[in-house]
Amino acid sequence: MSPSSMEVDVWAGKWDLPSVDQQCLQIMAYAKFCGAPIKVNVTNNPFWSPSGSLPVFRNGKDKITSFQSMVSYLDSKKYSADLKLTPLQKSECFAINKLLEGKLHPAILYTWWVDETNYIELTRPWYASVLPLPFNYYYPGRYERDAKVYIETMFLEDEDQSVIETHLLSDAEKCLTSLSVRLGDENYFFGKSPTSLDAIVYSYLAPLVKVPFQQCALQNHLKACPNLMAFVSRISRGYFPLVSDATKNINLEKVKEIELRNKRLRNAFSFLFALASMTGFALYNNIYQDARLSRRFATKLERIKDRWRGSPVSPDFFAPSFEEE
Amino acid sequence: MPTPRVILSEAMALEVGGKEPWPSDVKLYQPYEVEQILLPDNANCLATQAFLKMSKLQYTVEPRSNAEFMSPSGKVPFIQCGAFVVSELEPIVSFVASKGVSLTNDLDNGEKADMRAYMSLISNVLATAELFITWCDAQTYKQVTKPRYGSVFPWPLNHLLCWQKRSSVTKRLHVLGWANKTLDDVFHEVDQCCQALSERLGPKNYFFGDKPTELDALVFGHLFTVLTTPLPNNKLAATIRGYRTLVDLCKRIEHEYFELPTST
Repeated sequence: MSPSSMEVDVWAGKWDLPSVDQQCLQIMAYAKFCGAPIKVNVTNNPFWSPSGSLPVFRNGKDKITSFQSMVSYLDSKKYSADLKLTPLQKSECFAINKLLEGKLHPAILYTWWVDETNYIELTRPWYASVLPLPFNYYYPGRYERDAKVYIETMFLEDEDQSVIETHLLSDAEKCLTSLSVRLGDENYFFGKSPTSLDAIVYSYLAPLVKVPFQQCALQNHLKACPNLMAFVSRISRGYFPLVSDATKNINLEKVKEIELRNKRLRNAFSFLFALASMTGFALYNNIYQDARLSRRFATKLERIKDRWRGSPVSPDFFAPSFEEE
Repeated sequence: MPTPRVILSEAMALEVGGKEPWPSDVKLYQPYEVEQILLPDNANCLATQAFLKMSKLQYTVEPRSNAEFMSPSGKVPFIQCGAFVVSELEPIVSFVASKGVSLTNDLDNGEKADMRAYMSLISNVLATAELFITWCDAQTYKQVTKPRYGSVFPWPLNHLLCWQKRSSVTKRLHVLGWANKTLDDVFHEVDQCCQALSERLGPKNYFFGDKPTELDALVFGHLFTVLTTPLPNNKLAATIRGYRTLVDLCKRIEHEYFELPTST
């Protein structure tokens, strides 16, 4: 298998992000850091993914959806950004990853999917606009349900919404503070070059910096940590320099193309539906009886109806008061 | 008790708890150790006890069959300190800190951040693995979990509550992406976790030098419980036994804090 056949399917980007999804960003950033030639496909279609969500990393027949397995897969293909790390640093990387997963991830899920204002104004419209036609009615709702179950299982059954929110946000804020302290004045978490930990942290922080959420206390907290803000813009500028252009030109063009196609499909569907219902209505109410052009058709219909009623077929099909006679 | 109880969130505990010193009649509620308690609960209770002992705070253990349902967060253990009820290790640590007692005064901010990361490593990996083995492994569930969990309830309730608890744990594991894992995957995760911990510990006595912190208490609680709980499938304990330094840490803490005054 040649390494050049490596591909990853991702969600599209917006707001100067290479992708709006955390999992996708993580894989894209790591691919850049370790220099693996991975082709990025903006598919916006999770239907073929084994996990029901993007990203999907593909190489020939191998399909991988989790970040850790992709890192070890790339490692086996001799692409790694973590070669210079000592065992202690690797252990720290693992621990910080779990800290983000446990403390920051729930708050981010909450911000995207559970907070009603954000969900209605931002999340659902965006996902609905990029997903291809039949799926846009299904996936946003499914992701919302998944996120809600995730948050529900962390708390007692009928816990108050405001208690949940305070708890999640305070955990996430502590986590951001820890990150800020840990990063200090360094460029990256382990010295001069980025590692898998930097990819992970970037993927969590970048959407918080760039996405224009209606309600997000975390965003304000993050803006109070200048070194984390600088960290995000350093990676954005250094590794995704074309994104702001790309999202404007290439990506946007592609998104526009998809949107146009969806719009056409939608129009065609509504036209067909209207046509079908009008025809059905007309047939049902025997409107065609009076129409000269469709006389033959109407006679047939009438004959069928008569057979159904069990009455003999009238010799004059168009006598209006046939039944009264 | 005639005094009104207040259920405290962490933030509130910091604000109101600071006025009074640590009273002598603090009670720690947990399920019955011999016949009822399960592996994950036992680990959390032991971790909290270790933390209180390391902080040299007095408490008495109150075993209750319905401790889980008394707790404000639905999780054991919880402490009752004067008018306050605080549950789980992390809120208890900040509650104790509001009384001016802390094990981490000597640490700088970087080390504190580090400690927080390793603590969430334990609660995300090791605690989830314990839940998986207790509730999702068919053999363990049938032979250990079900009889023990139901032991304190009368006939129809023992089956019902056990079923209810199992479905809520399964739901949690499902959203965490652990539901489709095999036992071997789980052991692999635990192995990675222990590897990370033993790298961090190195040759030191405790994770941050010569004095224990709440991270040591948490590690001790989980590892010691796994090592000493007999299960039909004891590969979890075997995985941990592969890391000498961690086992030594458990022995050291047990010797230092749990052996001398045996009557708590």
